[in-house]
Amino acid sequence: MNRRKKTDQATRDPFAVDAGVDAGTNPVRYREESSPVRTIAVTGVGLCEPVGPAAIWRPRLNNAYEQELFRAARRESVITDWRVRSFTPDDFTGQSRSPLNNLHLRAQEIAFHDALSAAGLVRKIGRKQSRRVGVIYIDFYGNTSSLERELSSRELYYLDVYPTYLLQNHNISGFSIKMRGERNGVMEALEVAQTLIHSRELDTVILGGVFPCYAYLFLSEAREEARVLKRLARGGELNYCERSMFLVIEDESVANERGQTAKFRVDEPAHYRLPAGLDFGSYWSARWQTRKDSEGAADIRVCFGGAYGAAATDEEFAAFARVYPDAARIDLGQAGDSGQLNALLPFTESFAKQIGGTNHPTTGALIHTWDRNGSGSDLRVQLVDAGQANPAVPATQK
Amino acid sequence: MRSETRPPEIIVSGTGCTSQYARSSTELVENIAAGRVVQYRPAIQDDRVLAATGLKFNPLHAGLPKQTIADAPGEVARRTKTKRKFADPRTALLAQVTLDVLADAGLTREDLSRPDFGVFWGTPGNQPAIQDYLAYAHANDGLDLWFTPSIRNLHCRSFRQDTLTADYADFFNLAAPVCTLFSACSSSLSSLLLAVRKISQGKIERALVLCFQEVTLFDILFLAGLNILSRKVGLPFCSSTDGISLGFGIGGVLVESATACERRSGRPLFRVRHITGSRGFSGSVTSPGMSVPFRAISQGIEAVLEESELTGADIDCIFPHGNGIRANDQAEAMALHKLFAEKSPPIANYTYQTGYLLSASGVFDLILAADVFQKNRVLPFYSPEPIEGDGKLKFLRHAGASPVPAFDASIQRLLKTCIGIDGSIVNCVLERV
Repeated sequence: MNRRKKTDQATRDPFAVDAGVDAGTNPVRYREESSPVRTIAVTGVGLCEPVGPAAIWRPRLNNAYEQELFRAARRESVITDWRVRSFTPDDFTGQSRSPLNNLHLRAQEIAFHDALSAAGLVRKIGRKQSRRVGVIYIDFYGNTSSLERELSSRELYYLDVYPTYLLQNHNISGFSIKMRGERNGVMEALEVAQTLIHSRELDTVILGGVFPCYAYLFLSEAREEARVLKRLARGGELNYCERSMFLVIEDESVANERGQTAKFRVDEPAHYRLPAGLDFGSYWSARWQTRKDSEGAADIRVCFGGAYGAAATDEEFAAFARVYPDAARIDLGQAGDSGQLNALLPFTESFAKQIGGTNHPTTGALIHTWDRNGSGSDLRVQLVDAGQANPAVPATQK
Repeated sequence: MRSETRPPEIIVSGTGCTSQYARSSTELVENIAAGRVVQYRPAIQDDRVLAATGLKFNPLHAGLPKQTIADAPGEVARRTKTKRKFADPRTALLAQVTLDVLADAGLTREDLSRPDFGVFWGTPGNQPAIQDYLAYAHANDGLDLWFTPSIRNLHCRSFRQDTLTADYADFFNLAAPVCTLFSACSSSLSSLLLAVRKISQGKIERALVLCFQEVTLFDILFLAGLNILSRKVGLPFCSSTDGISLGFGIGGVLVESATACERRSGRPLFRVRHITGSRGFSGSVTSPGMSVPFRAISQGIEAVLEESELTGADIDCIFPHGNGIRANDQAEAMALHKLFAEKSPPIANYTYQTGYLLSASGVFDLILAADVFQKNRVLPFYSPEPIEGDGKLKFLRHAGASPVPAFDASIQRLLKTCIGIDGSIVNCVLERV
């Protein structure tokens, strides 16, 4: 039985032509082509996550350093326990055979395939299209192969250099890169993807990665960020979840040509750096209010926050409430912290249903991410034909 | 479908670098002209570490002296008249090169904090020193922690990219986050490509492209595992050696729209006519190959020529990637021969002299390209061994102690190619302003 969860969003009706996404924060002053600014659409989403429930993590008895970190992290932050959902071999039973043994790489292979499948691109990337499709791989921790127990040199190469097997499996030979960012990495990658599509370097970009959970890293992170975590954490537990997720982002006209419809339309992310010593909440509400006033973003029905530290700050949600009082506020942390991939969670089926729960034909959402550097981004997303979406199913009920 | 309104011209107006070979762009050009070669040393200094790795030989490395890295914070503080300390000296080194690039372009540190200024890093980023903890990563006891305190470097600080970017962004008060991207040894041109695209679209007016790759024990073990490290100093395009000799360096260029440069009365060094990127399949899913096939390389070059509306006959000079891996070099030489045999423009590759700088290799060539356009010459490169296929292609090589004179010519267009072991291929055509 296939036990893994995956998104398999149904094809929706064609969308209205008049909804341009680039009427956003970054006005395009030059165009490389004479055609008007085209809409960027998400046409496929692939997610692979562990099936089992989150288990309370405990340090290994034969690992003194883990025990030391655990004690120190508990003492210095307000976190009492860490719950972790990790991939196990059982998560992949029933899957087709793969030459890969590493579970993170296998999860990636599945999520990538699912994203392409949802976008109708599996076995459809021929010789002509091959150079027009690229992959932006988002890496959170960098070289982590040394923390894996068993790894062949081939898998080491895939983990730390570039997962070229994803490209080879699907005949992709367009401009592809790996990007490093913290929790804001997805937003930076989205902007890069849009730049590449708008400049006609590529027609389709597949964007995503995998988040592996390593105890050394999340414990030391808790110590490092104890001050911030004290502000953020609710309760005494922090949830982590290993995930792999990919989005297919396309020039909408290209998707239409092959009879594919958009599932989401995405605006261009707007980046900022928090001014030092400023009250976060006031800064955010002023920023979003200015944006709302200038762009008339009255269609924001849902605000997604809490991408940092797996717990939404009170300031962040209070700022949402001040600017978008009627919008629902959803904590992305409820589904478990997945580092850089948190910002992609609103595109998953369960969250999309929450956006669509209002039964409004064009439902917009605001996704906000920030990291401990004070770098942040916000992104406006429009769920296409939200009226057809089912009532909300909280992700935590999965 | 071509636009009637041409995209804005993108120019490079400032350069800067630091490495063991050269502490500045000027020194880099002087050393190349003098035929100097970087000093290689065994990469692993500690015999116990070398024994533990099981390597059959100690590979060569041209790294920066530790003292140079340690002195960087003081150097930056002196230049900027601030007392600011950097938590990581590597960040200070990056800041130092940034200041050099800005100064060369006639800009100030404050300019970098403008919202229309993008910062792109072409690098694998922060990498852990695996020798600190590798033996203890899965099991350790109290005594291990007592006798090997470096186990505690197994910490998120050693992995996270913001260990480097946070201080950098604060120091320059950047308006947007640093965009870090990596495509192995073609990272320089990949980040240049992205900067060019963003400027073309008017999202930003100018960008700093900063590239580097630290050579860690992980890199050495990984490359040794792939059997692509050279036993003796690697000579690109030569049949006598096979493999790379690593070097460490940081290089940067300032890219901006021609109008922005003109507005501030800047001095353009050369124009980026066009740049394209692609991937070449190599090996299979079960066995990834490290060499990029000839077809993919030639297709990449053809693509950039086509997009530039040029032919092979329009290219006056070539700076190939030439990393020293024989299969790669042969494939690249074949592609160049196929496309440029008729005109046979001069070809120069300085990898042997500077050391192979991995992610930063492309940006060092951009600095040398500036010299080509500014001084109307192509400096010959020193290689003690004959080049394979020298008769078919016009390599500007010299083998003597006294360097041969530079190739004097009014070069109009230069082709720069970059190839990564991840199969990435990025090519660009640079043009005289």
